[in-house]
Amino acid sequence: MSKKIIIIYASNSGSTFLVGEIIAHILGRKHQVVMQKAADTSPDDLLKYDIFILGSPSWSTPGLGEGFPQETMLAFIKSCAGLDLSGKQCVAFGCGDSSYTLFCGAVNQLEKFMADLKGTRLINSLRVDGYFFDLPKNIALVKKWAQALLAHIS
Amino acid sequence: MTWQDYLTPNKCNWCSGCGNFSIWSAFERAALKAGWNNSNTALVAGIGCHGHIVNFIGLTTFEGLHGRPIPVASGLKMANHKLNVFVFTGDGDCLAEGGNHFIHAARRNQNITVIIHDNAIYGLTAGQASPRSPKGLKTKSTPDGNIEEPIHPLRLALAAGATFLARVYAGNIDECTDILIKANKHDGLAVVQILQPCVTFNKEYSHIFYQENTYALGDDYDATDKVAAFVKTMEWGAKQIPVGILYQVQEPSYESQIPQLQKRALVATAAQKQNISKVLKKYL
Repeated sequence: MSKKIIIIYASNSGSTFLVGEIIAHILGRKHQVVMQKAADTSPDDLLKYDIFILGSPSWSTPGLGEGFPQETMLAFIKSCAGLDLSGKQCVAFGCGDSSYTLFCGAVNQLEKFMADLKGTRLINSLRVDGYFFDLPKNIALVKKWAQALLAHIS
Repeated sequence: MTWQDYLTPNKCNWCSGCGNFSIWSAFERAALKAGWNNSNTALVAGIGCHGHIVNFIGLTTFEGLHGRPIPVASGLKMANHKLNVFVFTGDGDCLAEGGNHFIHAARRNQNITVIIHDNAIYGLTAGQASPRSPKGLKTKSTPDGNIEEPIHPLRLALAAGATFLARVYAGNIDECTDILIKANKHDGLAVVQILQPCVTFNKEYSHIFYQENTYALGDDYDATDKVAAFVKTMEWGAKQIPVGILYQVQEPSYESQIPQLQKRALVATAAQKQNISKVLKKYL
């Protein structure tokens, strides 16, 4: 049965956006998928979908430290405080660089956020290392993950 | 062509998070959509972090001297005006070392697309103030803060006679793709100022700065109104950076006014042999 899925992303140099597009394309074969910037998303939007997928790069954030989600995703997370998403399914992805101390630290934060909202995690999160530095390898990795996710949802 | 056809064996050397990644992605998307290939397109870059882009796009490319990609592109266009010719240039490359060429390219209205990777810093040389660095910015060359006012390239180009001016934030890959295609379709000089954060050396113009402070020009904006365009080029600051096509009018391109180019490209015209023995006899 076709499900309603929203991919909420934050992106700077574009890698998280591009990864989100690949995921949307593959899930879109069987489901209704919407991609939306975190900056344009309200907490109520989450309630309209069966599945929500969160994606963010990892950055050093003033006052917080290294390995945090991009600022617009952080603001979105903050705006969702107190929301109960029991019964909703979710999963996270992110792009990072393993030469930094906390590789894809933002994904850990997204996982915690989803758990705090009582969402049910579908599969293990996707962490992409240096997306642009090896496009063929990383695009293949994202496709494989998205296909596994598709199989899990279906 | 497929996206794989645009890949090269060269590994990217930009810093993680660099705005150049999204410009690269947007250009390749535009190339794929518009059908730019090795038989109809040539790329020229200057010197700077932006210039590395020609190493990562599987099209015919030239890397010129610092500040000189526009003259190289201009020569290319004259030799074969059927080509789509793109210039990749940085704000330092274009507006400092190449400022003279930029002004005259705008005045001349050659049918080329100038893409300015505007990170408001000299990134490749590790962070000195550029002509786009904001007043007060502390850099390695301005440790007490930059005392100079920045140049605004679109205002400069408009004053010099450019016929297509657009601005886009690098991180918006879809918008960037769309603008690049429109710029190339424009018959005349197209200037695209891409707001490209340098995550390593310019902490002021960050990704979040542009995400929070740019706004799209509305449908009611008249891009043919030169005075309105001047007013838009004056805007810069908190929530006040317009993006989109600021100005577009149709004026005869340089190439369209040269009779010798009307039948065929110069490159397709065989050189005519002349007997110069009489001249040689006269002077030797």
